[in-house]
Amino acid sequence: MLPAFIVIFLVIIYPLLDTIVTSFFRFFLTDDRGREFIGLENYRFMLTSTEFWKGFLNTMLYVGGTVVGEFILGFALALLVNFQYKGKSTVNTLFFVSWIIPSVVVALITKYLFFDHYNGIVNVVLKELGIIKDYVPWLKSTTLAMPTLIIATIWKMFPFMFVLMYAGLQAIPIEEIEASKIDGAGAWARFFLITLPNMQNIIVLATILEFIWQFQYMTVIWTTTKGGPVDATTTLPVLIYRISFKGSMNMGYASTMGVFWLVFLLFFSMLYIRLVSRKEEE
Amino acid sequence: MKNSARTARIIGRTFRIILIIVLLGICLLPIYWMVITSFKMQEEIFSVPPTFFPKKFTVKNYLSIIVGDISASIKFLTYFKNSIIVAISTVAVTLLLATPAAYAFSRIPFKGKKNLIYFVLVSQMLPIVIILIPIYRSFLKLSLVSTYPGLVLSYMVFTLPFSIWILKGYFDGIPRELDNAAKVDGCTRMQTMIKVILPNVTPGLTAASIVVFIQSWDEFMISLTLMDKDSMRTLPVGIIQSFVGQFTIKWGEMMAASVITTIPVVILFMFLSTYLIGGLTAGAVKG
Repeated sequence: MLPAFIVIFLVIIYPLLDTIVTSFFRFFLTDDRGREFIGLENYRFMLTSTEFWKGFLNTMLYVGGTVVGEFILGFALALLVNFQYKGKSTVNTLFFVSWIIPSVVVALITKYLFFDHYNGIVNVVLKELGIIKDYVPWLKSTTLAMPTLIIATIWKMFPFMFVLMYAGLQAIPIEEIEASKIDGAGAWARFFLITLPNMQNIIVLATILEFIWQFQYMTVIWTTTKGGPVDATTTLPVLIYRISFKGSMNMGYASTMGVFWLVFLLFFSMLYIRLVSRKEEE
Repeated sequence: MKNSARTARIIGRTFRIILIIVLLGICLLPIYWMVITSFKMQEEIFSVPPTFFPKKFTVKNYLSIIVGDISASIKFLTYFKNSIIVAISTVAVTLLLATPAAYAFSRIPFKGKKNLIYFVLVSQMLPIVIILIPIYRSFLKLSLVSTYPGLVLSYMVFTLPFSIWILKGYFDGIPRELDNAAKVDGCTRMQTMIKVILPNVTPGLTAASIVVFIQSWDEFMISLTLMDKDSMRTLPVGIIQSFVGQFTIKWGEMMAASVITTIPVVILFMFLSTYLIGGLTAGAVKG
């Protein structure tokens, strides 16, 4: 027990405290003068910065888009495969495969599939089908880069949602389903009266976990567009990474964004869990 | 009347199965495209319209990254070796630390232990890009930058809380009578855990191991930041940093590198997929 806590202190608690303290300081790694206490100056700067709010908006787009997409796809798929047929477990396993594909490989495949030239297969297929006239520069367009990355991320991440939803469906007491059938409830009524209420807790947990993870997730963005073109895909982690490890290495300001992020996620999850969680029936 | 209902059911079933096959095809298509491209000749990759099956199979792309260009190939094998070392060490260290902690959370009554799920949730909220900075600075002082122990230690940020959670779920499933019986037989808590409980939670340990392996195999940002030296880079960072620049448009080589990067996790998954999926869902379903 103890060793785990030493490590947790060393790599989680101490860096967290250091981040909170640093957010009140003027601190550039490139500047030899070291730290200088400036109170809330970093916070004032952040809250009035358009770059920050643009990054925050991009994060909400990216995270919202991927979580909603994953949830709809994962839940629909779990309902679709939830009946008896031969080879079901193999099919379920195959649907899970994209989750284990390394993120950089997802990024390379995305770059390749959505290549804006004559051999980008997405363009070729869409043109063949007559949906587009000219080749579309997916990842180089300020409007299309974000949707493209959202699609790529959904593809990588939805299997997690799928297996959780599927496991949730298996956990619904069979008596409840049978009873509702005897009562003559149709498929829709059964879905809203039996399936959804029984799934509520697992849906809340799965979506909140994905929301928190996606907030963090920047590998596919960093390795395809580096946040571009023109900041169109710059989410908060990308922005923080750029501020702290590139250029002037403004640690104080980057830490301030980190604190904002943590506080935002804490409030968001608390609110979300309180609003949608089913009250435990005592 | 009865017959038409049966026909309707059969049609519904058939429709469902067709839909499943189509969706599965769409999900696997990108992987198929990656594999097939890695075996194509450069000319064929650029041919219009693209071919859905290589006219001429070639392993040239693989040879070119493994034995072809001397400097690049040595690097590729080094990156691969680094990734294997880091992933396996991360699994070992995580399990060593998480197992006793999870056992404690499951068995020893102490205040706030019901809140483990909240601790796990909050730990996942920490912006890794930002706590990387203090970690990087303290690692500089401790000479842990660009070392395996440093990277493995920093991976505990995301592997430890989640593994504790997964393992606790499995410990909870072991009846306490087993603990009590061991106690009566004179086992200490440590002995009980190692000799009596652990053999019963091998599915949990397997599940946690494979989750941690996949996570550390996949990790990019921490490795990018902490592994300054090129010779210490892991595979994901190595590919992006040195290959992409070098083979800007050589899709064949890039897809071959992608396939090799994917193979280890696919092999693990082929044998252990039930454990992995079981582990991911076990903790969550119980909530």
